[in-house]
Amino acid sequence: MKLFLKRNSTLVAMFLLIILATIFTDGLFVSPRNLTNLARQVSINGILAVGMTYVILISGIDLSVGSVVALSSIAVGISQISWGWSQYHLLGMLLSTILGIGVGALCGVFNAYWISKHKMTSFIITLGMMVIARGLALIFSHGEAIAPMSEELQWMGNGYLSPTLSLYLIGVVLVVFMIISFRSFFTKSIMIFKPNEKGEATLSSILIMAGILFMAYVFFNYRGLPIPVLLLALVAGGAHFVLTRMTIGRYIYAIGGNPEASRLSGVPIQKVTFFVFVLMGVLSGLCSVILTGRLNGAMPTSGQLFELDAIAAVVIGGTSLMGGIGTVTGSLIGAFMIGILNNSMSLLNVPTFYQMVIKGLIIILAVFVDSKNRD
Amino acid sequence: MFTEKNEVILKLQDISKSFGRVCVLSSISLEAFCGEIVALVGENGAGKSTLMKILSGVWPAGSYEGEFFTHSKLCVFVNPSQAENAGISIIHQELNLIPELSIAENIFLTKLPQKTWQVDFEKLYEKTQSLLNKFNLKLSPKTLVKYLSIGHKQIVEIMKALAVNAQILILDEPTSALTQKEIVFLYKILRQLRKEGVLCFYISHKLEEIFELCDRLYVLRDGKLVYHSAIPETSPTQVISAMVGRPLQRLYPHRTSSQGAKILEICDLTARDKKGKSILNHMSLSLHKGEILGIAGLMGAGRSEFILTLFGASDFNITGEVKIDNRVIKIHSPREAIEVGLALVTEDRKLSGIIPDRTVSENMTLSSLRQLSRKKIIKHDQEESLVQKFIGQFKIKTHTTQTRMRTLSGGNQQKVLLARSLLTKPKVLLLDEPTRGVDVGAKAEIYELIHQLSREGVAIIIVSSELPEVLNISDRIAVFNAGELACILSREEASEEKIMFYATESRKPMEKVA
Repeated sequence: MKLFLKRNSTLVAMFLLIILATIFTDGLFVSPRNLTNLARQVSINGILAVGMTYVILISGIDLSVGSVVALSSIAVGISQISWGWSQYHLLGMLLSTILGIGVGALCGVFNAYWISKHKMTSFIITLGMMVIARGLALIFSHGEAIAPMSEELQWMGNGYLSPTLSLYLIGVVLVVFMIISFRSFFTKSIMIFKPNEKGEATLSSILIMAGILFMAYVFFNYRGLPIPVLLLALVAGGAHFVLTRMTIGRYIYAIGGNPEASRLSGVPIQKVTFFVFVLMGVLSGLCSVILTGRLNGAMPTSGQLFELDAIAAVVIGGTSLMGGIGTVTGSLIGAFMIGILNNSMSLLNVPTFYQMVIKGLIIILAVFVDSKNRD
Repeated sequence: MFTEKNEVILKLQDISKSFGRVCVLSSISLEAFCGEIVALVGENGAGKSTLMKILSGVWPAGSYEGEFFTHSKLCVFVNPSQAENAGISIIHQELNLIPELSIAENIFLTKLPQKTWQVDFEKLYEKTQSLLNKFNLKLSPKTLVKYLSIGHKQIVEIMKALAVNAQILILDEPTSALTQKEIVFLYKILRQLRKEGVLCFYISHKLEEIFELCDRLYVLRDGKLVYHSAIPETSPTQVISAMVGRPLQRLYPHRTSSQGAKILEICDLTARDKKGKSILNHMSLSLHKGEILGIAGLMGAGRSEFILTLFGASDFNITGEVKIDNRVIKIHSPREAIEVGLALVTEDRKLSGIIPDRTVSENMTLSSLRQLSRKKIIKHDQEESLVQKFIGQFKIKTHTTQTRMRTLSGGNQQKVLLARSLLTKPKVLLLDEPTRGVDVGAKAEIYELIHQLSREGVAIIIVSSELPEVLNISDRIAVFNAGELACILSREEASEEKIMFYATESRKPMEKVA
């Protein structure tokens, strides 16, 4: 138990933060309405943090995320307005989404090409891309906002699954999770979290089930499951699976842990690096669609400092900037911690400028505590 | 400063040091005089570097037993700069110069002459120029070090030591990267220093150099001083037998060789680095199923380079032909090498072997994930049972399959890496120093595993700096010398003396020094 607390210090810190936020806001913080909003606010940074986890695990960095979100967002806006895709309702929304993700992916391919093929430092390449993408966004939009979007596209940012449907969906997830944990408890071969440490694994499983039940309660009692949150769950779940269960996940850890050893062991470093940076682009594209939908418009100046929020979430979540150590779940917790801070300080009417200072200090504190708790 | 020629400048008394239970130096006592060049020889791991690290303060006082004196003054060094202040400087094999700074700045780095708030460059260049003149070097003090040849860099290192009034100079393999001409120049400078009363410790594998340059010689073996003589009174044969003549323990399993068909054939393999310097020169050899080929040679003879080139892991320009199972193959990357049936266990476990923060299981299966997965999804059950099988079979001491690799001992890490390469089911296994930094017990187990593999028909190439290891484990021994294959000895005809002879024999006629 003690070990569990020590290993999951960020999780403990998050719970402390939740308790503090609840006390200071007289319980306003934990109302289903506020928690739903919190989840919606976190989803974009959460998705980016998942992609950034992969990037940082191979000891890279992607500074272009915010600009790529803006550029993709402009592409979505142009397709909706100038090309008139907003008239095609659902089909138009789908096409715009594909276009947004495609533009993000292209930016990712550009980054990935230089970094994997020519072994350039990711810091430099993505710094360049950051400026390029922002410039392109300004060029294509003539420096102006593009609005409004079709209702379907707004749904991507502001929509909800109906409460009943949400309840069924979460129920299915819960049942599947229980079956897997149950099996792993007896065979111990299917490892969900920390294998060979049954007590800890059981505790994790129980905590997660409690979390899922809590989510069901929250979303059912407000307006249902927000679409961005659904997307975040899909992305994070998929990324977690890839990282823990698939060969490429192993390769990602290996490359970050010891690139030379990986090369000599036959790990396809170029391919993996390429994949990781393209994935970051794809996720940036996805976030641009959510952002455009939520704002009901595309702005060339949007997405600023998104990359830094994502990096902060990843680092708070215990991922080493040197690569090779870290998890998707950690980064999710990190993203939620930043979200909780923003949300509760807004509820308490802390002025924005002060919020920034406090946020910065807490990021440093979180990482400091985590580094002390490492073995 | 005036120093009497025959004054004892350095005296060691009962110096001992051990790492954990392994004793690397046991009661070393010696005396050295002003104005002589003393050679220190011994096999890799005999304790030469450890001894020199103690003298130069790298291992601080308290980490070893015994004491040593300079000018009859007890030396208690906590760090290398204290040793430097006491007049002991070491010049490492890898030079410690800052390439982007000038010669003058490098020499006086820690004691730049000052005037008010700034560096007094005039004085700096003046002082440097006088040093350069002293050694007859036609270089400007302002030249950046990165433009110097390795030989000149070495001289700059020596001048750097002299700038802090070094009276005892330790040179660790100073000629390993030098050309013949540069070596001659280095000798000239060392002789000049000898005249001025400086004591030089000269660590080298190259006996020829020692017999040409040094006055006396000490031989270290297994941490003990086993032989000492003035140069004119000894011969290379005597020195070699002192270096290697150890009683052999039953470390090595009994060998029953059984060879099959030819599996690997290398024809005229030549490798040059990007600058065109020859690394491997027209190498040809072949290997049969179940055969163990040892590769012996000195540091820098091209042994590791040969293995890396074969494995597609070097960036040399390569010509020549490699055949596996009579099929000509071209290997551009380690991944391709593994596909055609090669496997490698690297020389430097930490740098290029283990992934320290991942589990034993992940480390072991890294090269063979494709066989252990379906549609890229890892079959955990199968992986787990396979890893457990190897842990049992190789007697790997680890808590569970999920223990982090960094917590294992060197020998056990090595066994995991051996398992990693075996999981790819290789036809030819390349082992580069497979028992470096491994304790004796694990060594014997690794030898047993190697033999077992050869019985199963795997052809093995093993590079080792430890001659007894090469002699006892191999069927044939290839001796490398300066990037060339000096000879191939059969198990019966090979001996330590013969190997040493071929490994140290000069490939190019040595220039006579006046």
